Amino acid sequence: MRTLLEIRNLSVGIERGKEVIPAVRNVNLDIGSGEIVCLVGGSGSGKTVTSLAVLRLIDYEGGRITGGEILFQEEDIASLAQQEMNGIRGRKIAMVTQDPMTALNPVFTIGNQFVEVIRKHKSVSRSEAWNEAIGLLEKVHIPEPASRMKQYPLELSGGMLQRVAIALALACQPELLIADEPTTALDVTIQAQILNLLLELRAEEGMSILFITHDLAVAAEIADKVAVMHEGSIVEQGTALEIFAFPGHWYTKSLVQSKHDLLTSSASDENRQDDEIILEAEGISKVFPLKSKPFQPKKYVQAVDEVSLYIRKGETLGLVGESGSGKSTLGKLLVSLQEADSGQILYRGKDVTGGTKREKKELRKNTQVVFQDTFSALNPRWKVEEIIGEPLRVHTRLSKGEIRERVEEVLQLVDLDPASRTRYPHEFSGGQRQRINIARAIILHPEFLLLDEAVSALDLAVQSKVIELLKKLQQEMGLSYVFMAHGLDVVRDISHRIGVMYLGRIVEIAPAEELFTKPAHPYTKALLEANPTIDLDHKRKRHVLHGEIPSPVNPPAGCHFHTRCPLATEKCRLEAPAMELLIGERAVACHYPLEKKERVELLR
Amino acid sequence: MLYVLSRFGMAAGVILGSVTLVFIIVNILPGDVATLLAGDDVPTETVNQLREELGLDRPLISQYLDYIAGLFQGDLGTSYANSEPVLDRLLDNLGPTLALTISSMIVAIVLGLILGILSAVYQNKLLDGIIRVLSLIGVSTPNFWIGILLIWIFSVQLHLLPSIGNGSFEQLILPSIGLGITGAGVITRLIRNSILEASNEPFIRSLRGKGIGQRAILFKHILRHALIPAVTMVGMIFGEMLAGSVVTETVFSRQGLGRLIVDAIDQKDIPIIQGAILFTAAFYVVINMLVDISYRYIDPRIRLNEK
Amino acid sequence: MMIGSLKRIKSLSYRRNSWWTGSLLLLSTGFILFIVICSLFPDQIASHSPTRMDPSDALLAPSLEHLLGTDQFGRDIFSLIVHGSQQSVVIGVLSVLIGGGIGALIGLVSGYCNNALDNTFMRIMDIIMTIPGIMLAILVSAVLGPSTLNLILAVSIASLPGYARVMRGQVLHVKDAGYVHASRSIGLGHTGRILFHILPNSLPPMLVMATIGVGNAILMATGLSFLGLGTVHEIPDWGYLLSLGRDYLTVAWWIGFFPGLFISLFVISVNILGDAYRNYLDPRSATS
Repeated sequence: MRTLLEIRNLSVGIERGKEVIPAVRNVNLDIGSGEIVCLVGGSGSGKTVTSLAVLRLIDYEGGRITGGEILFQEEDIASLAQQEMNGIRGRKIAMVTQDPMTALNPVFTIGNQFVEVIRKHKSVSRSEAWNEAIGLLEKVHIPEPASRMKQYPLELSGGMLQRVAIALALACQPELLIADEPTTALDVTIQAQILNLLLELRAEEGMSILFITHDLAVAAEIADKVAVMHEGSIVEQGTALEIFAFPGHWYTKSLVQSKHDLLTSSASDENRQDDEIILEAEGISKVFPLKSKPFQPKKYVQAVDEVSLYIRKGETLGLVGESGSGKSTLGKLLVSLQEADSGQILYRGKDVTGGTKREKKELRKNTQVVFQDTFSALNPRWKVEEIIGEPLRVHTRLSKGEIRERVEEVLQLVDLDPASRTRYPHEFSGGQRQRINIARAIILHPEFLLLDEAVSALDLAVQSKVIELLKKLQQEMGLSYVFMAHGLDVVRDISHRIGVMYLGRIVEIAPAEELFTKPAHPYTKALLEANPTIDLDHKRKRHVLHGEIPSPVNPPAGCHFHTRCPLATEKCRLEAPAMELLIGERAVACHYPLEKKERVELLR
Repeated sequence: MLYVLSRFGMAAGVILGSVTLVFIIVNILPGDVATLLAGDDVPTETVNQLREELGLDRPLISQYLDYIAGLFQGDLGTSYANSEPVLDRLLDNLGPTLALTISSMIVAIVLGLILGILSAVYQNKLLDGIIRVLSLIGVSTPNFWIGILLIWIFSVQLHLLPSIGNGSFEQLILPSIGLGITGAGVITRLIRNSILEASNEPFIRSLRGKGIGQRAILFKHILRHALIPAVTMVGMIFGEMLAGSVVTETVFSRQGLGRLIVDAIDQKDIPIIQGAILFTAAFYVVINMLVDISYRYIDPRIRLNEK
Repeated sequence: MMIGSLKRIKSLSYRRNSWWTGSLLLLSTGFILFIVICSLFPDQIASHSPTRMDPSDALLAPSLEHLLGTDQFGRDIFSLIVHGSQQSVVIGVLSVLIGGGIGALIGLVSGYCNNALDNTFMRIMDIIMTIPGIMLAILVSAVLGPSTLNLILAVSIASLPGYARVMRGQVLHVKDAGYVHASRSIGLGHTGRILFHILPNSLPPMLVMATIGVGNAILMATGLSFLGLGTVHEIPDWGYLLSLGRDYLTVAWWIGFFPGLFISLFVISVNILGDAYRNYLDPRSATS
């Protein structure tokens, strides 16, 4: 195999005032033609900086190459002039960025953006370029490509846009495609589609791909070779098998280990304290009106549709679902942050919908929330002790000294230094800030905690530590959790039972292990299959759900999932299935649950 | 089309609101027009007689309704000073003011656009520094003083351009510059900021990654993006110019709505002031309506978000 | 992920204070202080009595005796400017306090309620905005008669919509911040959320606006008195002085020049101060 790109001792600095801070040090990396190389690392590890250096875009973003060579087809592009780079970028090396929504200029049609790029590198007429673009869109499986050409980026979904961005990168048959977290902003079923597309294109076009990701599992799915970055250096590289089966460097080991931990341990069998039901929802629904034009019928989003569930004392109920599934709204309804349109919420058997002010305050004391965005959840002008002590000031009449004592106590409980109480939120890392959020949530000794994507924004290693803390607190304080996340592995790790949501409805709810081993709903199965795994034995061309997630404004009739379900029949199109108990605590809303072996086989 | 219609409806509503607001200020604020007109040392009977003559003794509501009804027939009342219909006087003076406003707009936009682009392209360089100081001076300096300086330099010292009067093109140059400079300062800052903001958009990185040159990125992508917020400002700046013309016309002794207002102030001719203000308000509303409508064609996002 | 941290590094790397922005800020602060002292102790600063008229001293060019020259009555321009500063400072500060205060209150209520009341308030603001500030001020002073108080009132009303809109936008933004949701989930009531979280976090941009608003108020007020709508005192304020200077442009440029220069310098200083405060609050905008 010919080597396409050789990075030799590359160092990159970021200019900070007059200083140059090293961001990447002595990186060596080879990419053979037709090879997929994954650059894996946490945030701030220097992987994006490396890729920007290869494209020489780092020059525009306040950085510069301070040493080393980048040999592309045996030519050192590290010292080329930007003028010459413009002939290489887009033609020989192309890139795809993380967020497809912002990667295209919103004020030009998709067709115009194709024509611009194609005509920059090839001398063809406008109409030739236009036709060529339609061919490219077909290649990435975009339906009705000719009409897409006349649309604006805003009119397409994220998944579609990422296909468009990939097609745009392919415009001049580049030899190297740099993909920087191309699936991170996408839902898991859409991510699987895009990964499959990249593999397919590699096979067809024979191009090399430098794939950057923070997600080990995604790397395991797609990589031939993996390089692990940590603090600006590549600490280890090798074939996917070498890295995942026999990690050498301590950092790689810890990454692989924390991913394995998620998979092996599950809360299902751990001791749950008792069967007392803390919180219960009965047929709750929530509809949001959309802004509409005058003289036109109002449109609504059915965010939550007739959902029933219960949470026991000391239990974690996980909720998974893709965008538009309504899990966030459901969470807010459970803790009365939003008022349900219909249905009841029972706290310890008592209806709390529309209670008096006093009842509400009592409820607030016992149900707490931890949000995803660790930064915005803390008032930037307050010290940590003021933040954590706020619930005490609202609900109790403790003196300043007593509050301080309690604050120090909970800080210790969440493994933070009690002395840090006098500092401000911005002085902490993301993981520490989330601990502060947790401390504030538990200071009143509540019974129930809503964890709304509470660990989703954190790096893998930090994530597993926060999960550990949450488990510990649950044991010690007998807390009940509703845990929402889009990462399936995390949910599996912490939850006793898991509910799967699709377009406002719960389609399946079951004990965690059973759900993962014997999914009953076709959507659950599809989700699990789409979920990337570092288990290389399971690496295969998997079954991937086709199509987009329908808009919650206009969900399909009958069973919402019928448009993407491989097993859908006429009945599914007409009639919404009701939630039915299978065995034990397993319930599913499907006309044809996958309990029989032959039906499962049908899916293959 | 539906949008354009509803936008028309809104504009009409806002103009009605402005009429009402002006009416309220004139009639409900503690000042008494009749006393103001008659002067301080006049016996009460005379004042009352005057009040009756002007129809100011009737209930406010019927005065208001009459005024509105009059508006629909193109009747803005009669001037206290010379009993001419207000509308005629306004129309007589509209032309020169529009000429001044439009030529000032051109000065402001051309100057602001060029300086704003230069400033952003040479960000943090010397030229940027100079332009930023100039635009700061532009927005901070009263336009009547700029006018006086211009007269002093170009008319008194250099004898290049006429300082006062209207009619010829030369007579328009100094006033337009005087009035346009403030707007130019505002536009320069705006363009600079939105160019810098637009060049931080992630899609600019993608474009560079596709080998598109700096020049094409600046002129095609960044500028298109940056001009969108600037278009909104055009409506606002037009209003400011219209208002600024009051002062500028006084400085340069030009005929126009502004002068009409200033003279009306001296004569306490409230109907004229009221009418002239309604004129500017209506202009402002219409211009902003046009901006809003055109906006939908410049920025596809606005159109699409409504779907 | 890296993109985020890259941007952070970049934003910090902007030179927050190059030496000349620093010294400009120092100069501006100094000038504002000087004007404020002038308005408080005019008699101590002025070189001559502002009312002393001496025909033999009329229309003298700037000299050591009369730093900025004299007007047609022989009054010392520098002393007139020093005494006239009071009017500008008072109008600038008071109209911002009134307009900004009421505007902020309207914005707060509007943004927090975000319902029919909000709609009504905002439509009223739209209507006020259709009448350019100076026109509104002309109307108010024409009806109420010229006086400092009426001038302040007029300028306050005209600046109302700007403050209300900015405050409303800010409140809408802060209202949705995680910590406001969090304190709601804790059980903090409306008043507590507004007082402890929303207000303190919405105010800083308002303060920037108010600083710059002082400059705008002064521009508007001097414009009005230039037109003869100001207060007629024995001692003319800056705008009126300038309009007197216009008539003597051919023989005595200094009468019109220096009052204008003082207005400009004062407004420039105030704007520089406002910009510096904005940059301090949000280092990312340091480029602007």
